[in-house]
Amino acid sequence: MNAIEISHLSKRYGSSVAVDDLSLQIPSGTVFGLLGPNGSGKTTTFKCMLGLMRSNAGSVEYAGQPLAPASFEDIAYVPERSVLYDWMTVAQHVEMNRRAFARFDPSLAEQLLTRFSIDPRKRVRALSKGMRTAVMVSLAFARNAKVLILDEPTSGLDPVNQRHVLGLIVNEAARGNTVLFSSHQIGQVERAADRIAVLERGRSILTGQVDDLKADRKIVEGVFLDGTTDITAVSTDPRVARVDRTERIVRLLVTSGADDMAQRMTAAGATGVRVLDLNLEDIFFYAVSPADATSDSASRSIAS
Amino acid sequence: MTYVEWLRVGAALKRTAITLGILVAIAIAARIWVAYYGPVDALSYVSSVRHDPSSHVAVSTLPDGSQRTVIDNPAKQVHLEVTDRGHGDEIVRIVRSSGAQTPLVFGDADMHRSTHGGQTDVTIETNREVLNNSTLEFGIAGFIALIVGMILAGSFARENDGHLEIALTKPVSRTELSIRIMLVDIAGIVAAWVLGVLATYIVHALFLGFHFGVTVRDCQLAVAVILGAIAWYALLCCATASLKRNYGIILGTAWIAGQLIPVLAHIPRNAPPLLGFLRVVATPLSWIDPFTYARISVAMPSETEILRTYPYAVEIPVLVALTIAYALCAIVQWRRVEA
Repeated sequence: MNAIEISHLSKRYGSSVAVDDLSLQIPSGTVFGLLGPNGSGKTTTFKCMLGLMRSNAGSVEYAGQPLAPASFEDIAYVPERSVLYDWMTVAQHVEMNRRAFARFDPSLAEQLLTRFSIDPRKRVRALSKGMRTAVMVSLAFARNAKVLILDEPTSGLDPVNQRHVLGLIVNEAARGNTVLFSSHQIGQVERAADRIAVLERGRSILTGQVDDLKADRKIVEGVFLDGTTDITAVSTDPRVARVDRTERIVRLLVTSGADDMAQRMTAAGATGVRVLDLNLEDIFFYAVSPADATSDSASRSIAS
Repeated sequence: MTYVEWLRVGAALKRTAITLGILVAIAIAARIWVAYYGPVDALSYVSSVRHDPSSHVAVSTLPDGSQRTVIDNPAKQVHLEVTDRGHGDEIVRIVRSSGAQTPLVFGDADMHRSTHGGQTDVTIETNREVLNNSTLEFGIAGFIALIVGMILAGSFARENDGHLEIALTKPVSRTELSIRIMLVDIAGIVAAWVLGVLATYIVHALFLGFHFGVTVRDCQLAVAVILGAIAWYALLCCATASLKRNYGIILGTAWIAGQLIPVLAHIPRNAPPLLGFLRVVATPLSWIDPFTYARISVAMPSETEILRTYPYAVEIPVLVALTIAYALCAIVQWRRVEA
């Protein structure tokens, strides 16, 4: 059962496309990380999912149902920037949520605020950026929502509180709830997320379980002493997702069969061939950054 | 769902109460100053003579049930007759020497003064309409309600200005939420009117005594001024519902246009071309301008009411219609706002 199912979602601003035919399935009880460079459409996707923006096409369903006002009893959202009321106190925000949401737990909210060292009597305008984020996170987690959508939930927090938020996220999944979150801190996503999707220019360019992506994808690296060596047979293999070259070093990003590709590199004349594991940051980097001009030309040179 | 709006309304009413409290305090200070240094209020004078140990007081009941009190004070050379017909309906006659005594005041319309030889004869009728109606109080309170309405009117724009992610992720439809928000604000406008009435009654009591009355016309006026404030609030909501910033300019300046339009619409037809052009532009606008139907000038205790354009029977339904139309317009706009 998918907690969230996004089908062919598109959002345009005039001629520019923010979200382009995006489809994602987010199973219940998972922590799903949405990654992407700035302007890749993560926040727009969240807003379209929540009806805060009108999409040009596509649909979003929560537990098989389209979004309705009553759905917000089950969905908590933390935006990337503070949307709190500056003139209100933190305690008044707690009260606002208590009155609006049936399952909101004020005592849990107070516990979380205490954990973040926030005085509920303070007005929001007196809080730092990180503290405002902490307030929004505390309020969202005290909602006892089935789905949490968190846009940069650790933005501005110190490392200790970042880790605390990650703990809350993982704990929610352990309770059977679903968390969809974005972050620029890929290490955090790797630590918390079961699944990820990488967005670029509004499109999903990579999606899957974190462990699978890490297990399948490898870097095969070798040194070619002769830069004119023809490795076309290797670089055009369908398992090769990318070819990079720095000086005489050739790196192949392979999506499967790394050992076989290493043997083929060796056969093509490479020395010191080795297979490297990827972390999520590497996977993200290779997914969103094109091979630079030097590497491209080098690749073509090698290929030719 | 509307907790934030209640807080906003509460804050606006708190500021209103503080402002009115300051004005009442000033009025109390003025009343004390008048008591010591200014002309003597006639009814206070009567009370002081009545309780003077050297006064001789005789009370009798007249055939019509009225109670007559005759007070003579030879030391002060004063003769008083108070005919109390109940419910604050009194006729007070004060006869005293015309020497260098502190002048008495009570208001021009209800105090008749004549001098015969060395004596001044003052007659006061407290049952006159000016003392037994609340036209001025209700009108001034309407003005206060209008100001509070203008303060509250940016409720949608304030949500648009960085808080939509909170407002629009509540488990309630946008339509229902917007209606609830406006109802809270309208409750605040009515509460501001009540505060205004209380404050003006206090000032009234300070200077004119505890003689209050509410006529049918006062009730009509109250409905008209409250509806006028609500209609103006709805118009401003409509004008700002889709704005995310700079709405304060509209809230702060629209009333100038709102007041000018009905005036321009009354420019004579034979006016110079420029004024004639303004009249042509202003006339259709005046039809949808709440100030056309709820002029603050109706609050003035004037018998002529020269600035009133329409009878209440027209004003009140039109103001209700305008309120509904502007409120719907605001809701439709806010339903389409994106975060």
